[in-house]
Amino acid sequence: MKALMGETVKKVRQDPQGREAMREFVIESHKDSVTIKLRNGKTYTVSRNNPKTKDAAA
Amino acid sequence: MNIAFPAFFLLALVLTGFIFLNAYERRENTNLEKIPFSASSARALIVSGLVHILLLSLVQNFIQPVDFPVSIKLITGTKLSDTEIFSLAEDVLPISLYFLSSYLVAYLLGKFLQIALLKLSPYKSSRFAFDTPWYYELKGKISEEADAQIIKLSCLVESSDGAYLYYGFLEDFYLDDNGQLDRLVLSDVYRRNIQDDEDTVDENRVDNTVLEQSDQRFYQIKGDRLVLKYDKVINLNIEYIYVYEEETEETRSKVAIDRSWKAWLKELLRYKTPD
Repeated sequence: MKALMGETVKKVRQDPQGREAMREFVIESHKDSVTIKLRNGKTYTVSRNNPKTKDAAA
Repeated sequence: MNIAFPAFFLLALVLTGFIFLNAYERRENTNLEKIPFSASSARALIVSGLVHILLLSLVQNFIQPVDFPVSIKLITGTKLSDTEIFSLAEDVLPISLYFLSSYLVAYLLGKFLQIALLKLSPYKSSRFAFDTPWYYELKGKISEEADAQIIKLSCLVESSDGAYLYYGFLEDFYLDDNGQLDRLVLSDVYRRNIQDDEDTVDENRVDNTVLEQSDQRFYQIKGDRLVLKYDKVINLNIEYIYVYEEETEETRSKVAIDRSWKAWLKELLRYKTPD
């Protein structure tokens, strides 16, 4: 069965820079989030925290 | 021969229910519900009855009358007269079409019900959720707020030369017949020997030295996909990772324009609608 794979993360992983940054994030357990800029100029945040609950808490 | 045909006829009737259950319970070649054969047989019987009642009503009212006495004789194995056999012989094609239609209707109904249930009860804690927790966990269907994009797994695997931690993104998973995990397929996998953690790292120090030491412990596994058998995994850590696009000036202005149009429309409607 296919595991969870959202449309946003598919776009990020299709980009070589995005794929590499996601790969590094696997072992960077000390970081809660990283910002990735893709070749098309778009910027994405990869985070261990749910932004919805983070905003609600704030 | 006297009991063979009624048994075959009953099987053809009850098959409708089993096709419905198969369509309802199976998704991506995996059973979402695990119930004993006796329970599934009872369900199949009930569903078959309901589907045949529905279809026979439609056939009786809109296509052609159904010869119920002959049908009862077929089920009970009662001897048919020559006239009845000849009328059956003439209707072989419509009867075959009826059964094929009933199987198709049962399959479509089963799939429709499955899709409806997954849409209306999409989470593990939903009222009518399937009894396969791993399905919901690894599809990320935990709650409405948790809209993660990908799952990162950390698996502790014992081998002959020590225990290793495997880190990677979850691509696929396989369940066994009991709905338990069988295999995990990871990508972008790193491995580290937990013996290497004996050189303890001061958790309060977050500087480049610490980070370099962390990176050296990891060994990247080349390859597109790594398959781990779940029975070899001692511990499993699931991390839901969230990915979202940062707002730029362009997207912010698009959102602002969109909001202002909506506000303008609302104002216009309020003006047009009398109190």
